[in-house]
Amino acid sequence: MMEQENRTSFPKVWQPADLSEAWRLKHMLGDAAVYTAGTTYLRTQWEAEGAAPPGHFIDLCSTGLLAGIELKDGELLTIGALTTLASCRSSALLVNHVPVLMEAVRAIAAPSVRNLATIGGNVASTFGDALPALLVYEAQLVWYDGKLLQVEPLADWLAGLRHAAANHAAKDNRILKEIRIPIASDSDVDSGMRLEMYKKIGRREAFTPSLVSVAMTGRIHQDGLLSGFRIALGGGGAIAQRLKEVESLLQHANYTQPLLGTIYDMIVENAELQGDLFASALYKKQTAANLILSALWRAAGQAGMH
Amino acid sequence: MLLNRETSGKRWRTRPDGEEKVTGKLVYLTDMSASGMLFGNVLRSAFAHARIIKLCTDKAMALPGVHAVLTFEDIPGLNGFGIAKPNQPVFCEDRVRYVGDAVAAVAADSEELADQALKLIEVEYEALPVIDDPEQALAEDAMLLHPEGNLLHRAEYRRGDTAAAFDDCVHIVEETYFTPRQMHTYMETEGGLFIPGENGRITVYSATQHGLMDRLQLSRITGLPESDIRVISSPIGGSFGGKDELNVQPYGVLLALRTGRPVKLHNSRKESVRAGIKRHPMKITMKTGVNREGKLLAHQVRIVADTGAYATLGAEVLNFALEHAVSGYRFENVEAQGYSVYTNNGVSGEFRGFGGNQAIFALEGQMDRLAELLGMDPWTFRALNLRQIGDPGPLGQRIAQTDGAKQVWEVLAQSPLWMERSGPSGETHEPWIRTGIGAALAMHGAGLGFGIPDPGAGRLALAADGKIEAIFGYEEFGQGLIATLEQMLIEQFGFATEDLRIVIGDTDVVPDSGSSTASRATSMMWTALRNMRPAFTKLLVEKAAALTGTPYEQLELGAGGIRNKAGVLLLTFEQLASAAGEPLAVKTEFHYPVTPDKRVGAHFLYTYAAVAVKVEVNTLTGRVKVVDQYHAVAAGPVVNPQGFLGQIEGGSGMALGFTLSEDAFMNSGRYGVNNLDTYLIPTVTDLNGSVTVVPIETLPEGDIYGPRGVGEIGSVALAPAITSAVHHAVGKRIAKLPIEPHLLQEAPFAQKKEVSGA
Repeated sequence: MMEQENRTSFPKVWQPADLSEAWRLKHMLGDAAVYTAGTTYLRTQWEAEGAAPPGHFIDLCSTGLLAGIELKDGELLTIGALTTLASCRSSALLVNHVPVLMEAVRAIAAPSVRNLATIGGNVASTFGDALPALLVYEAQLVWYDGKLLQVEPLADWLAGLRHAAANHAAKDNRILKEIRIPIASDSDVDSGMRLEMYKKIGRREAFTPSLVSVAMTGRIHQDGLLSGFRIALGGGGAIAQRLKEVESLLQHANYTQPLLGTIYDMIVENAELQGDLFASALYKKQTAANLILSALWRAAGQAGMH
Repeated sequence: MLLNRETSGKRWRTRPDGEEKVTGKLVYLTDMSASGMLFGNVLRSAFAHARIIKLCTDKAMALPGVHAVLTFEDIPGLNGFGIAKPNQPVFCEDRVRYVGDAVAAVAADSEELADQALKLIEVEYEALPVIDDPEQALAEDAMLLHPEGNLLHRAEYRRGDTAAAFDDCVHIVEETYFTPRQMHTYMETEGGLFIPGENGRITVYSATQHGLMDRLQLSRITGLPESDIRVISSPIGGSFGGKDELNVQPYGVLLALRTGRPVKLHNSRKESVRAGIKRHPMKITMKTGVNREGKLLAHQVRIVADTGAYATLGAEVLNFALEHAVSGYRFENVEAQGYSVYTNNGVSGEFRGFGGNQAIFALEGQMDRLAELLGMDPWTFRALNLRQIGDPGPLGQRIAQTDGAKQVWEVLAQSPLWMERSGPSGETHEPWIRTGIGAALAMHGAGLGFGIPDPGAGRLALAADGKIEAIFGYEEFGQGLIATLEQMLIEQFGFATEDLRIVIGDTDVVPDSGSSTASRATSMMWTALRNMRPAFTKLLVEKAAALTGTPYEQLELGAGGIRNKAGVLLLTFEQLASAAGEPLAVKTEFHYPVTPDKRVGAHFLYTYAAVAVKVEVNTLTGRVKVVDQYHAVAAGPVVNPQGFLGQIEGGSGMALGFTLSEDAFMNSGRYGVNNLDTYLIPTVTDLNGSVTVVPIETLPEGDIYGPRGVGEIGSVALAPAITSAVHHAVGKRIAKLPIEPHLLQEAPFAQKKEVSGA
């Protein structure tokens, strides 16, 4: 009896049977409730100074619908939001089709955390280290809004977050159901050497919060021609971002040393990375630039450019 | 010879407490519970520095399920604790001096109710200016944190005429070194179970490194005679110096006595960070000069240690740092001053290495810088000035002589890793990964030092059930003390593992063996067994001779019982015990060996280590990776090979964190990191480089002190070896730990560089 009474101060855990019920609960409870899955990131917030957990947890795992990785028609990779990072890490589909994402997942947290943490949670946290990788694959998010499923490009959602953060906009009650990644068709695959890179830099070698994370895909051709570059940054509390200006500069440019210098300056100038208690903004920007350019340099070397 | 499983042969034994620990089956004291148990919690200060204007516990007390709310008014005895100087209030009365200061404590039916009750305690504070820097605290107009001022302790040592000697120097290096506020980061946070017994007695199940000291301190606080307090303290999930001082015990005891019910307290990690002690951050300025030939002429040292709000062992740590800042080399003229300063930061105290880590980082940094000015190989430069057998100790005191300094120097000089340094520089795959090799040397004192009570004692008994009991007042906090004691009993007496029962960590039964600190327990157990062996052997064998009718001279102790010289078992220990009808026991009491020279804190026994490391510096990120380590350690005979290796590897792992990632930094008296998601200790990935350990076991003929402890020596010389290797790799000198990557970062692709290069 005593036990019952004592537990009243614990949050109430709701286990909705489906997405619709989960959404209704959130709509009803508002800020007093939080959607949960692995709860690994949320928990670190509640243990931090001053932040108490909300009174209600809406456990999305009970909806039973949202895990698993599939390749549909050879052209669309879908990852259920409740797929754990550990499952992602052992997925042949990810290795074969989205190696940059695989590398990102490998660099997140530690085994015990990855057994609980979900890819959906990594996205929904708004600054998970998978986000730059998803950005370079032009991933789309499938949301449930209480009535319908909506498909939204990840880049648009992130742009919205940036805008919302600036305007203190109301929080999103939608539920992330799935991540979709369009897979490049075979015709693109023949020309040139593919460059795929993901790096996360933290304050130790593993199980570390990131200071900066960088993802890049592109092609480098025999004659030094560069094409199809997509580059994204994130980590360290920054909202993940594509470096579109750098990408345009690289498009159909030829690999040269001076080009690297131009890009370096461009990244250091334009990257939206903020300093924190552990590293300055400049350090993060220089690190990002160095990682991107060293990967380019390495690939150029493999292509016989130097 | 290399120390590992293969070279140790049969001496490599599985730890008796290993399986339960790695499988998680072991019940630690904080895992225990008792029926009718209440949950305790402590209200800590909302400010780093403030006056308490009002304190009201009525609402908390009125909450159903709350059984006690205690404040300063509820302390029967002394409102203070601290091993050396008990000036930390159990409960603050009118002033708080750091964010870990306790204001009140509650006991309730559940953890949640206890939390809720804390929130109902009304405290009105008046904020006071926060002194968060020791130099600021030493300023003349600084507000006084304690009646006696802001200086806990000043230490000084001089010999020769330093000022004049600097005039004769050809090269002088002056540098200021900074070291971080490192956290012990034991896996088991502070906690325990406190059970009131009959006749007013109380049993404390809570970790410590010195049960009898806890008993003494708790007696002062409660007013109970020491004999009414029983402290049970092992097993412990890590300590590293951090649990030597009292933490939750005063609250547990006071709450249990007040409610008459068992009370459990267990700090969350956040609470542990907030209230627990840390390694002293130190600012060490050194000015050191040499003549043209490279001989050290003058050495000036100024140490400023941030000791935080209260004393604990701050003075002793400073003494140790000062002693080691002038150690290892033949300095003709020395002038060293140290200040241990109160601030409103977290309390600093005992931590593996005890001030040596900070001092050696600075000292070895000086050696490297001087060698560079002289254009000499840094290791050759050290040899020119290294202390020799027969030299006095660092403070001019007489010490137990060994040739350890020269031995570790020579072994390292011939190590494959150090030889690699003078070979062709290794190619790396990528131009921005640069490798470097560096080395450092340290001597490290053991025992508490001159002028501090440092007892040793032990008992051996044949118990009624036939077990051989070895009874010591030491603690097992993961260092392998039980394994080491067992191995000594087996190797020295011929007992079998199953004959033995190790009894530690219970103040009702153990003798006053002193603390399990200061690399002292192994030495003391060894000495105790050596003292007791003749008498214990005689006692058992005489009894056996009488019982069996076999002449005494033909009998000896062996596995399972008393054997004849041919090895035949004549009488089991069980038979002997039951025939004897009374416990057969011997005991020994002695003092840790000390120098005859009257210098408080000066040491007598020293160990030596030389460490070489290879690092990779990634100049894209400025991050440093240690890929190879070589440790030469002169600490006398290896008692327990696995334990020895574990201590050196473990100590070096902590030192790697101290060098590369760990700092519980504070801003205005508040921690910038509250948990292990931001306070980053090394992981297995950070420690995946190879580690080679080479013990040097020889001692001078006639040495009576035997094996020296190695609990700390593995942690003191790694940091300067790493920074030396970083310099070798990229040509930059590091004076502040942990290393800040931005200092080592380069911009190989930057346009500006291309332009200037063209």
